[in-house]
Amino acid sequence: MGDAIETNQDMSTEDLKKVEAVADEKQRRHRVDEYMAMVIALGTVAVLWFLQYSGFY
Amino acid sequence: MTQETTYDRAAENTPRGRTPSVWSALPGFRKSWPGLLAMAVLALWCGLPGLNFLFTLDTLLHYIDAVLPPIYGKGFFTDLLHMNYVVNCLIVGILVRNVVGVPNSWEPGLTYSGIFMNAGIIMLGSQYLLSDLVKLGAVSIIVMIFMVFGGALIFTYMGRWAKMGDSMTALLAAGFSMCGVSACIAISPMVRSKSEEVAYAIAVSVTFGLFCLFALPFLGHMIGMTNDAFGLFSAAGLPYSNQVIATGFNYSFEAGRVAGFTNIGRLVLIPAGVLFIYFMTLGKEMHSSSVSFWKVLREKFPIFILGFAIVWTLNCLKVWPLPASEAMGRVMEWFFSLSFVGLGLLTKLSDLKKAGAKGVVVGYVAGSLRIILCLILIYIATKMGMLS
Repeated sequence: MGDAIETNQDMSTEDLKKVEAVADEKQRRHRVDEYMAMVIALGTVAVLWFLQYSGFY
Repeated sequence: MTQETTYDRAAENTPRGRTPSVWSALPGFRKSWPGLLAMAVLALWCGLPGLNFLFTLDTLLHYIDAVLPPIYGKGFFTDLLHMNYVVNCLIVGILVRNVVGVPNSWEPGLTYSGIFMNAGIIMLGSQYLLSDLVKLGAVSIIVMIFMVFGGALIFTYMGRWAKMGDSMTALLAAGFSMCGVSACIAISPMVRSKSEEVAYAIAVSVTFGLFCLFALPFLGHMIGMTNDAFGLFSAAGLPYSNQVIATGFNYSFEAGRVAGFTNIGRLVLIPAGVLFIYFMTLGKEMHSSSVSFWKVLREKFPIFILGFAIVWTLNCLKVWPLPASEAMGRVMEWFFSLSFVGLGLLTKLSDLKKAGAKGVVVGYVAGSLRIILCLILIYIATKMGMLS
């Protein structure tokens, strides 16, 4: 197990930057997916509620 | 070299500038519409719940079952293979990806499948009342705590036994114990993973979950699990939210409802689980570490759960009457259908080869042990009267 830590400690700055950049990008995408989902879902709930309130179904 | 100095060196070379907006991570509609259209057309063709179109796969399977002689009095596709809209969407997606192939123009749109899944989970709030929280809240939290932290321990010891290396062990533990892809990505910079290790761990957890998606409903039917027990079982046993929901709805609508609800408990535990795995695998470096609990909590907490909480609270307060709640349930199933097609279209079976033999063996054995632990916990909870 220790070998693996040492191996990964040998990672160059470029490698580390690459992993961090990918993680940051994915983290941002993950967050924006959550915002979009909230907009879509809460919007849909509001529309369905309004339609029911207006007597459409 | 300590972890701090390694990261400091990386930070020194990082250009200072404005942090890009989170919205820039989302592909625009112009790029995404082919993939979105493909998902919508395939979901419609597979048979969306509540829409009775004539030329759908679902209609075709029912027709074949009606024409063919029954096997033990049951239809082959619908009763024995349990081919419902969940399985249809997934299988069609997987076949299109791995047999026919997917054009590059579809790829940006397919990444929206995660958005539809989250939107479906938020709308799932319209299907619960306060009584569901009373009935399932305590048992689901207890099982999830055992599964997240116990699962992480199983993977940590299996990884050490197989001499897999700390970063790979941590990635597998995160991928299996919490939430597949997102947990692997969340922990990758903390444990200094190489990019190929992240890809391996994701491939192992996703393919294991895919196998469970089809196998667990058969197991559940075989041992006669109730909808509540199976919903909790799929939420605690599977590594990936999409697969949890798909497995639950594959079993029954009620099991899917319970799976979605109890899965919230696991999502809430992600930040604590990430820190736990980090300290378990790199414990000897924890004194020199600069990892902050609040930073991890802020960055990793799944905020869309707040949307679920809003919808669930409004439903508990009876803000809208039952017909609206039923309509929301139907639209929720459409969101899930789109998501399942997207999940199938994003599943590359060739990824399993990338994981390597050792990663696959450790991942699958430890994943199976987690499933057994989960079954034992659910059996105990049932015997103690905490679960129907």
